[in-house]
Amino acid sequence: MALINIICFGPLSDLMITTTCEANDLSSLKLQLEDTYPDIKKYTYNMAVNQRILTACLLNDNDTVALLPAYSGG
Amino acid sequence: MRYQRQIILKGFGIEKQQLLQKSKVLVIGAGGLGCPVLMYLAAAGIGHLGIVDYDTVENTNLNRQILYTPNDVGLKKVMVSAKKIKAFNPEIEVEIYDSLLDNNLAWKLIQVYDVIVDCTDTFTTRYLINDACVLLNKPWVFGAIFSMQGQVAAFNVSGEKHKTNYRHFFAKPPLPDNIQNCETAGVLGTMPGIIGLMQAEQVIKICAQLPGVLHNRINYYNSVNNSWQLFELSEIPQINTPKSKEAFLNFNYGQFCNELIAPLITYDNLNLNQQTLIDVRNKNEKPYLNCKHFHIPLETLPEKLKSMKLNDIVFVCNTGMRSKQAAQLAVNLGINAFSLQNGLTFNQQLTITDGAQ
Repeated sequence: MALINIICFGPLSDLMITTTCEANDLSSLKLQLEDTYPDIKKYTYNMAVNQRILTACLLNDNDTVALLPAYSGG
Repeated sequence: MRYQRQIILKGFGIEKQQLLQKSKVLVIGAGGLGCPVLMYLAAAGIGHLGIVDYDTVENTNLNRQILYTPNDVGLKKVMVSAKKIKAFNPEIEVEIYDSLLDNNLAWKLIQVYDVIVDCTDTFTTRYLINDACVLLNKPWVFGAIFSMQGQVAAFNVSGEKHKTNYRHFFAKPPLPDNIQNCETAGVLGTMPGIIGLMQAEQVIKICAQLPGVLHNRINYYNSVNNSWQLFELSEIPQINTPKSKEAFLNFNYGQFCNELIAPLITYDNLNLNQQTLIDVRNKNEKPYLNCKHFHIPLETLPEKLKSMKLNDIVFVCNTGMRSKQAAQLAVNLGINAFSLQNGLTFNQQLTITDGAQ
């Protein structure tokens, strides 16, 4: 299992306190986070690995995964 | 010469200034983002600026919408903003469109402008602008704010390997329950200033053909930790946009963005002897109501609704956005409920005027 850093943006930053997580790939990380924080499932968000927005990816130690929701204030 | 300081900039010169002067830029929304965008585009010498907005200036706009003063409260934003930016730079042309942007207006306007700037705060308008720009082959600059964070990007920019647009990042809009705006989440005035300036800079780069256009990337700013982070689109997903003018004009963006369907009621159709008025704004939000009502902020409403056993409710807030969400919650529970159309801003018969507060 790889040790991953997690950062959140927009309204998700109020819903999660996790800063690190163990996971092998992006989809299992997503399931794990949504299991721990079910409220984030209500949001439309992208995931980026080391600042690249991806839908699937194997993860390595020290990768940073960002959760990027859509928002619209102006 | 007013543009001398930018003309002497390395890589700029008189040719780039002439490109700005020849450019036609449409700014949609003259609010928090629109104000700095308009001011800086006017100052930089964009030859022709179009402004679309249907709103009037409110007191609560003044912490961030820096084109407006207390004397402008109640006046149309398009009128005030056009007058101010013409004063900043009398050399430019300014055209105003005092209207909500719908499919027809978007189609008509976007084709006659070179660059479009989205300074609105709704997903409905954002997808509408995106799809019109894709069909009409126009670049557009996006900006959005959430609390102490912001996003900025340039979409549908020509000449790049992948010409990506907003739907490549977010193929579908979020559910309405989870959309917050400046009115509900609050906003520090500098946030739209920062993001608006980034948008204006992107427009100048596109018009003057300068390097550094934010295509295939979104730049995120987080004021809490003072960081900018650039996120790159690595896979180009398949997307589904209207493929013809007819398909675009018939596309229901309100439905696509899950706009709420709870019934609206106008002031003239209210029956306050029988209906219960519920104010869903936060505590101390002005203007105060001048009639009998309950006060239940939207956040606490779901819990309260179940225990209140009321029927025939009219929800109110300032603009009609939160009250629409409240009415939808009630309707979903089988309660007969309405949202006051256009909110208290346009129904001042229900409020105490400023002087009396």
